[in-house]
Amino acid sequence: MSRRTGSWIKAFAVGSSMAIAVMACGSTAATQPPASAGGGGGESATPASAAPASAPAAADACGTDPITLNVWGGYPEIDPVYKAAGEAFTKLHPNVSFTVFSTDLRGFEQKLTTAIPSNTAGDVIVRTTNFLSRFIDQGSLQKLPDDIKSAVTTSGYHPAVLKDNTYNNDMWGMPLFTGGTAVYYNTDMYGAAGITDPPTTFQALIDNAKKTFKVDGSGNTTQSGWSLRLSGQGSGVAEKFWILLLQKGKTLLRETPEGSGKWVAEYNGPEGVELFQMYVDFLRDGVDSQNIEHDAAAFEKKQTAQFLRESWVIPEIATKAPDLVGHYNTVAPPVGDILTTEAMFVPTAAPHADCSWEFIRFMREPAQQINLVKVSGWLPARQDLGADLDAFLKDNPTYEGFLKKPDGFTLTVTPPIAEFDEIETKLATHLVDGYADYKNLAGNPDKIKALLDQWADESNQILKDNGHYGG
Amino acid sequence: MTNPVAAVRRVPPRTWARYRFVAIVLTPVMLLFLYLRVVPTAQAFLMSFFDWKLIKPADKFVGLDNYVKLLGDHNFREAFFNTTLFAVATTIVSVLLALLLAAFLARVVTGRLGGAIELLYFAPVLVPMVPVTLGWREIFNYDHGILNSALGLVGIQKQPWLSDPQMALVAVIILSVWKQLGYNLIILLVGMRAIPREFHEAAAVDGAGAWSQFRHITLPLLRPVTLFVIVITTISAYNVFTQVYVLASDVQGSPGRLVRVLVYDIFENGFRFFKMGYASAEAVYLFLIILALTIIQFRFLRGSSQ
Amino acid sequence: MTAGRLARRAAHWLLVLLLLLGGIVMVFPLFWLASTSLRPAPELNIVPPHLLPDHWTLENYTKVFASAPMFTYLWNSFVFATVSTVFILLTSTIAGYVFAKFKVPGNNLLFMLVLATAIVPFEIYMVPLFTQMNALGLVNKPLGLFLPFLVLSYGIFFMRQNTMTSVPDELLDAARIDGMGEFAIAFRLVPRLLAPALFALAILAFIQAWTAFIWPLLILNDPKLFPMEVGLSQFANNFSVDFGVTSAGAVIALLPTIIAFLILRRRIVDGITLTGIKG
Repeated sequence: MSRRTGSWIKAFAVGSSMAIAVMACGSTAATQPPASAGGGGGESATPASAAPASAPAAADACGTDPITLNVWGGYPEIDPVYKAAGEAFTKLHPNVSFTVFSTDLRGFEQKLTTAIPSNTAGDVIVRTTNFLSRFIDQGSLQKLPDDIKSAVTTSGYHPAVLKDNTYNNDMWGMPLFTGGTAVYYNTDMYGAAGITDPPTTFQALIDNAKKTFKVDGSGNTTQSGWSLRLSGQGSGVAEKFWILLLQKGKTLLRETPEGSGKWVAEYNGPEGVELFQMYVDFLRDGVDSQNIEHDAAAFEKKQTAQFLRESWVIPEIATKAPDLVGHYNTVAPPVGDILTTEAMFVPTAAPHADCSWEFIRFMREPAQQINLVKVSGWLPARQDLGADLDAFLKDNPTYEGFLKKPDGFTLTVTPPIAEFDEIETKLATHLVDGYADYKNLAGNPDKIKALLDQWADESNQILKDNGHYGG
Repeated sequence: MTNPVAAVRRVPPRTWARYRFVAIVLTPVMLLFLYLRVVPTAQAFLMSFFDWKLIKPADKFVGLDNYVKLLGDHNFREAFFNTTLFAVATTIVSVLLALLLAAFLARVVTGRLGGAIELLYFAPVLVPMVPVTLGWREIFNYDHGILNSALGLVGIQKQPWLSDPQMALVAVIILSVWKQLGYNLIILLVGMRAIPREFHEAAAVDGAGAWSQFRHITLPLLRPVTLFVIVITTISAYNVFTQVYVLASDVQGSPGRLVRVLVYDIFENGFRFFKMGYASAEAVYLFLIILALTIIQFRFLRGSSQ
Repeated sequence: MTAGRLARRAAHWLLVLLLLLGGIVMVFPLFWLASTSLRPAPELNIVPPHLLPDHWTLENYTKVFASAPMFTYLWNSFVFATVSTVFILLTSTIAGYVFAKFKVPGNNLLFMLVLATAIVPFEIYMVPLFTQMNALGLVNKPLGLFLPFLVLSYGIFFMRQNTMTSVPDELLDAARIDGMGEFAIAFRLVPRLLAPALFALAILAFIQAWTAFIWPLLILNDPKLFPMEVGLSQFANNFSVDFGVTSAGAVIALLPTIIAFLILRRRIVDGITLTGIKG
């Protein structure tokens, strides 16, 4: 036995020295330029035309050979929209067929990070410019063709949408839909608590939450007054915190000085402390609880009086909780909102880029934009839909919170820096831990301040590592 | 041996035939092996010293920076702590339970009945992780999960299995013990059945009770097998990923708390934040832990055989 | 005496009962998945849940088949696991046989390298492996999925040990004297002597590929190529709230394993104990 051990240790020593010998081989393989690293994917790819036709593309953008376009998105509820659009497009271009691939957003983002650099992503990718900016840096995504760019920048889009879709002073994707937030509130629960007005101030949201939550005999929350985002993977938890922070006039990262491209964490100021304190106080007091359903599921099961979410919940309620229809309403957040735009991109390696862009032009048409909100509930990025949108709002008054904003309402866009996702995701992890530690933190602003400072240090450090720190 | 040509000539033709055979059959296997195991492992070490972005070639050599940074990284520390706690708990519980069960199944309840019972305990080992994790996710559900209902029957309060940080870790441990137990059981059973009956019979003649036999005969003789099981369980526990990934898969805010573990953190750093060098350094840390565990196993095995 | 024996018998049966109860607890999650998958949606929220559905329904299964190609996933897994198993058997047997029976310069060194990598878990080198596959253009290709599963360091070690114990040198020499060539010996004679070990390794290799998760998750983008584990996890994410439907998906994913286990029972257990390592 001892001999075996001896030889085993020897084996390891030999193994590691061999490993070092092999490193040379490994490093040469790895220092090949990314272009050749594309390998098989690159062979079938036509070289991306540097400047796609600036004139509105003719019908021959898709040629006559059979083409299959692969559309990738992170929201399964939008699949039917792409499929319907694909069928309509196929009528114009009979040689083009479609496949649609989507998974939940976190899984989708993970897929993109491996698929885009390896040139195996779809022909059309739907995601935010900010998330994709790292791939833009790598040269993996095409620029928006000039004709689409000028159409988009001329009219019909909110300035914040244009800002959100600009990276390195250029546009890369065609804005498809936006992820605005509104307050959903259950009118029955409001009524039972004697509340008649929609919550139009931050204070009203807090007061209404305190009036509407319910606990059972043993002190467990059975109905939350405000379903806060307390857990979940990715950056969602931090995004919700950010939206609420905006109601207090502050943001996650502040550009300092304005326009410099340098950023500093702002969430550890007094407003951030106050907001975090609201979360943990709510948890301590049972206004919300980690143990009950959350978010849309809670609202649909009538276990919460209010929560903030995008517009896709409206059609989901119609199918999953039809008895709730007519017993809830939406209202815009009091002061402002973040604006995220999901746009359509074409990878550099996409084999049928001209046809992909042609499909994207098609998706910009009013009929497709209206169909988008009708089927999925997501809001079209175009605002110049005129009578069509008015008619839609008239038929679907619950969308009012998304389409009617109070005066002075501000839209904040994601900082155009590639590391923002890392900063937001890491903050989300901290927030989840912090909320879970509510017993220790509730009513203790000093501890909260120290904690937020610690997290802000990390955020600032990431900014420094990327040369974007402006403190 | 002074003349190499003469030395080669002395090799009989039969031996040349063997050399040729070895070269022909072993070369493709070893090339595959080198390319698929040795190169990437060596690369992992190499990348850990670079600021390395996915696909892009090495940006710059940063020495031990990644290693040092990791030590101060909140996520890494949490992952390390969680994974260690998880590995220790899973190992202790699953090995102790398996020992107890094996003792009964080896000596007391044997034959066809014992074999059938053994199979019941073994079934979870084989089933794929994703579907059973989905099943457990429902069992753990706070509201309508059957586990909380069952606890209610014996007067225990509902537990937030998936949303509370501590409970989420406990939930992953329960699921993993359930999955691992049968494996440990069958390995320990083989070890116990290999202990000659005479040992127990002699002890029984001397008046030793069941517990005393277990304590003084079974356990010492079973030591190498037990150690093997402990190390295998700990190593596989350090590599935990699938169950935490599926248990916490994000459902737009529905409860499902992520238990951050090392492999998840490597995955996130590498494939979400694009920090491949950093992720590799983290992988090397994980490797060092596993290497240490393996060395411990070999040392103890040597000790026990002397 | 009889009272004592009676008490001992009672204790024995009590123990059997306890062990059986424990065993039932072990398979309960599988039963529960099946039971959940056969309930209509309204019954899913009943507290406390009933053990069996009040109204049996197959609607969850219809929904699964309408929204996810479960059979494609299973078929992909099957092909993947079969290819992987065949290659691992082939590569492990050849290398194990050579390392055990041929004193060729450099062999020892190579074998030690094999041993040294046997303890490196896949998760350690998956990041560089991914970049290698990408350099070859194999991302999102079946070959990219298969390649890392064609060799198994532990398999080489295991077959070497078994060759040393089950293949006597005298037999090989006798075969050579009879005029059998080296290839015939290696591919026709030796495998016959190693049948139990081959079977054990086959089980290990098959389970390893059948349950692989993180590698297919990384390397594949096209749902048509997904093996069952990845396909199911994506499907479950899209249907997260409908756990009747996710349960039905899980049951479909589990069925082949359970059927195989019911048929092969002992042989699988014995195989696993022989290799002494998990997939």
